[in-house]
Amino acid sequence: MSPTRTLRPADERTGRPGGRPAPAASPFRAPRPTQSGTSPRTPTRPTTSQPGRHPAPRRHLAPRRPAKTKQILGRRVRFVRLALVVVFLLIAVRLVDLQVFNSSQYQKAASQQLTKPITIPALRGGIYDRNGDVLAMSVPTKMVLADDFQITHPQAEAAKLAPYLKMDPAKLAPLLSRRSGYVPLAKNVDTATAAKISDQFFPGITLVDSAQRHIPNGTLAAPVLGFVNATDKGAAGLEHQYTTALAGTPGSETLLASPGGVALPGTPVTHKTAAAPGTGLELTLDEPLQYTTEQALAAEIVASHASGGVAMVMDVRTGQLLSMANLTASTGGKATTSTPAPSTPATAPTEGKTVAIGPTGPVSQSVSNAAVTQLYEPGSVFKLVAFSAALQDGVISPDTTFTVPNRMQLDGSTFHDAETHPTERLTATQILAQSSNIGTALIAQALGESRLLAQVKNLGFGKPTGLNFPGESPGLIATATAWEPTNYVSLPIGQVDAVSPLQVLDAYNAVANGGVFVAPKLVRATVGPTGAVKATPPSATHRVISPSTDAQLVTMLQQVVQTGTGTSAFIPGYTVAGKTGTAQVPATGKNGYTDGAYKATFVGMAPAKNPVFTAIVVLDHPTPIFGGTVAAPVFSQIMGYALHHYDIPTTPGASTTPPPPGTVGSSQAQDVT
Amino acid sequence: MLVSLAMVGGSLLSVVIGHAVLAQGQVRLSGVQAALAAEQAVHRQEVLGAAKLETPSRIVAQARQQGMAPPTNTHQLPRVPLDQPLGAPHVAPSTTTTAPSSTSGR
Repeated sequence: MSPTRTLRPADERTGRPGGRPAPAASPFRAPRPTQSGTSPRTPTRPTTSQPGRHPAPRRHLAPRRPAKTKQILGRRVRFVRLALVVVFLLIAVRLVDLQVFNSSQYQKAASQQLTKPITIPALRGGIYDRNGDVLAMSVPTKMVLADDFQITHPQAEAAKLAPYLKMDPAKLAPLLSRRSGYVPLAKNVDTATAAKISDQFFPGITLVDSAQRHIPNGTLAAPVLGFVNATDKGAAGLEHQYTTALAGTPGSETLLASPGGVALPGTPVTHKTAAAPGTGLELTLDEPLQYTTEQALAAEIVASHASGGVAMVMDVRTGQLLSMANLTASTGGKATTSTPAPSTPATAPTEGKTVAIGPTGPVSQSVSNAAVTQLYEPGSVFKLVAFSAALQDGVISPDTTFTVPNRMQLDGSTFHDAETHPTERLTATQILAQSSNIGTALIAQALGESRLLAQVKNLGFGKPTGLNFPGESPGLIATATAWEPTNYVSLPIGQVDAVSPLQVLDAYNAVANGGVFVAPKLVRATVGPTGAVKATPPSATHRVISPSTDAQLVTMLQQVVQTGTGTSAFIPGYTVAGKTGTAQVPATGKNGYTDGAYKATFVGMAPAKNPVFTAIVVLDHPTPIFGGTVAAPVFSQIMGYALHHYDIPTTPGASTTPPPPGTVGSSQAQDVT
Repeated sequence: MLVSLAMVGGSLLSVVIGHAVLAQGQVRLSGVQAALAAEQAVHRQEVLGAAKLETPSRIVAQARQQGMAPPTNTHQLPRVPLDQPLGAPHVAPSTTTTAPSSTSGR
């Protein structure tokens, strides 16, 4: 190196003015020889001072390190350098590994911690009546959530947010500073309000899609419709039966969210799948007829102090249920012991009054659809089984005469008619019209055990109706193995088999339909998300009674209303056919029946000549107890409304005045089984 | 060379413009979808409101409020064919309350 280079501070080791310190003697290299035999970089210091110059003051220099120490130091420096290089290389390799080779994996892991898939609820399908009127529908709403970790000024934010949520700011502020990360502030906020909240960009406030189920008719047909639970899943009734179709397919969206699940502000949705709305149901029910049915039934429950009741109207040809009412007295459901209400005429005194049906009214909707879920011994309406089979087999004709005593002995048991009467000669038609138990037993004995049992099944008892309603019971019917001789009396009068009111209606509907059984139906069509209506397949049918036998049976049933126990079912201008039933209620947990507890039934069809509708009315524990007294008038109201509502022509020659009251009262007692 | 550069630049510019247009369309589409969802929600609210207004219980209550009452008796009118001239009215003593029902219908 040239000695003329820029001067540096004196080297502490060499004392040279400037320049690089003299290299240490390399252990690997010998010093370069020069001409003078000394290294040019280490000029020899003059040993004597030059004249005229003062000797330089002697500095205190650090003691020179030995060569070995220098070597060790140099080695360490190199080692550290090498180590640093290696470390940085490793870091670089790791960086490449993270950023290049495994970047996707770590990105995924990171996004899993930050992103959160949020389910977008599908809008549940609506339920409509046969005219398209809404019975149940869902409306999209929003749920307002707060991530209070993102809220820095809870008081101020509460003051601004409270008017939208209709909350007191003083109550809202603590919710915004709870430090939990997930605070539901409000549910079912309408979309218009939600849009205003969204426009305000409140920090830490998130709007989540939700939906609210509405029943615009209040409790109308509630046991049939059922309900949804807090998670918007069907929990009972049709809501439960068709919950898969109604629910639709939920969508999802993925966004960056806090650990509490609240979306981070300003983060975009990374993935979104739209929800597919559910399929709606168009029921066979007719909203106005359902209302009328419920009102008429409720009025009678109040008037007769009944504990509850069931009423239905069915379209004869299609088996479609036009109304299905299930009501319970709000007083607790026990038979009243108060003074019996006066007999209800054909035009019920309750007509025109509105009964509040619900928690605050005297009558409530039943918890379940008792028309299909609850079994009862139907009483005299079950006489249809014996009469239809006997007519079909030619065992009897409508005019076949029987000698009917007041009582009869069978297998050690004594049976008697409800009302004491001398032994009398009655035709088969009269036996049915007066609902004679002994007369019916005589016909059943003539028919035989196996034929009776076969006809029970033939008319649809003891098997599911095909409605597949949740909780539906097929019934409990006697079998050949469990046959007892007394069943010749007790079975045809409806004291052996337990059936549902719908099964009874089905059997009579088969009679009304010319002997062709039609499975009942509650869902007429499905309604797609776009509104497209797709009809459900028609109900299955099969013949159970020949046409000629059926015609005879209808004529006999018509006599029940014209001269028998069911005159209160009279409808001005129309012919009506039907049957009354007054059945004792079996005692719970023991043999025999509950004293004073009855179920009153009337089931029939109109117009009798060419039936369009069938209907059934069942009252639990009414007072008075007779089906012809309490159930038949309700039938008259409901059927009369249905006939007018559907513009069914009146029957030529049909009476417009009700039968004389004396005829009604004298034969009703016979109806009791 | 210049032409190539111009073409490349032009292509890049067109891609950028296309991307911008696409993004703008996407934003507009999102807006329309949001507006559609809002309108559908409003529609459903309106349907629900109409359903509540037309419930039988409300109609009955309104009718009663306006002084209407269910009839105590229903008169069935005979069906009359419209393609034939009407006959002379039959005057009868006003003792009955129901119209003759010799012909079907009303």
